[in-house]
Amino acid sequence: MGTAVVAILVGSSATFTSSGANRQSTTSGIVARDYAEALDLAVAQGAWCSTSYTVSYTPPTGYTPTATFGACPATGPQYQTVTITVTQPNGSSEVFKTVVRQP
Amino acid sequence: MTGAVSVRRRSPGRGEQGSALVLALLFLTVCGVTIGALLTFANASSNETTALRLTRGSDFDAQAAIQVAIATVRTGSSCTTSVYTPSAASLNNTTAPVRVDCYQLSSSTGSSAKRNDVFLVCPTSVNPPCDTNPSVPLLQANLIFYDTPIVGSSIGIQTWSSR
Repeated sequence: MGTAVVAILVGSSATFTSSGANRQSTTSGIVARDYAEALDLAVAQGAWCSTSYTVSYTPPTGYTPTATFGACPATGPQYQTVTITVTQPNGSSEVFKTVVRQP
Repeated sequence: MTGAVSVRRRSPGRGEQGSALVLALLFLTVCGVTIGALLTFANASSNETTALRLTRGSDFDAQAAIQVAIATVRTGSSCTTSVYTPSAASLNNTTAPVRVDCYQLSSSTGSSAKRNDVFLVCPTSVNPPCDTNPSVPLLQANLIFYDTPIVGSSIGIQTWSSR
C-alpha cells in the first residue's frame, strides 16, 4: 500500500511538473509572437537595418525575450533574419526564426 | 449429558477472512485507474504542447516567407508562382515547409507606376496554384508597390489575412 501511495504521489508530482513546463512553453510562444509584432513596429519606426532595435514590449514576469539579427543585405531584397529566443522561468528557452523587411 | 462436546460451526459466508482480499483488490484498482489517468493526462498535455509548437512554427514560417517574397518583388522581380520558397534551415517547422505564390492583379506605368499583387503562402505539398481552395493559404496579402520615383519606393498593404 505504501508503494502504491508513493507511486501516486510521484505520478502526481510528475504530472504537475510536466503541466507547468508545458504552460511555460506555451506562454513563451505567446511572448515570442508579441515580441515579433513589437519588433515589426520598432523596425518600421526606426532606422532600417541595424544590429539592434529598441523594442517597446514588456514580457510577463520571468520571461526574457532576446533577438539576434542577421546581416543586412548590401543590395537586392532588403530583409533581415531574426532569431527570437525566449527564456522561461524554469531556465529553458524557446527559439523562433523570423524575418523583418525594410518598411 | 456430561462429556458432550458442543461444536459450533461457523456458518459459511459470514466471516471476515476474505474482506482483506477484496479491499486490496479495490485499492489496487483505484490506484491503477488513478495512475493511468495521470499518465494519460500528462501524455495528452505533452502532445498538445508539441502540436502547438509546430503550429506556431508554421505561423512564423509563413510570416517570414511572405516578408521575404514582398521584399523580393518590391525590387522589381517578377510576381510569379513559387516566387519564394524558404530553405529548410530557415524554417521553424521543417515538417511543414511552405512556399509563396504571387499573382499580379494589375499594374500601371508612367508617372504613377504601381503594381497590385497578391501573395499567398501555401504548404509546398499543395500544387500551385494554391488559391483554388480558399482554406489552403496559410497567409494571404494584397499589396500595392508604388514604383515612383524608383521601383518599390513604398508599399501599401490592402489586406493581410491569416488562416
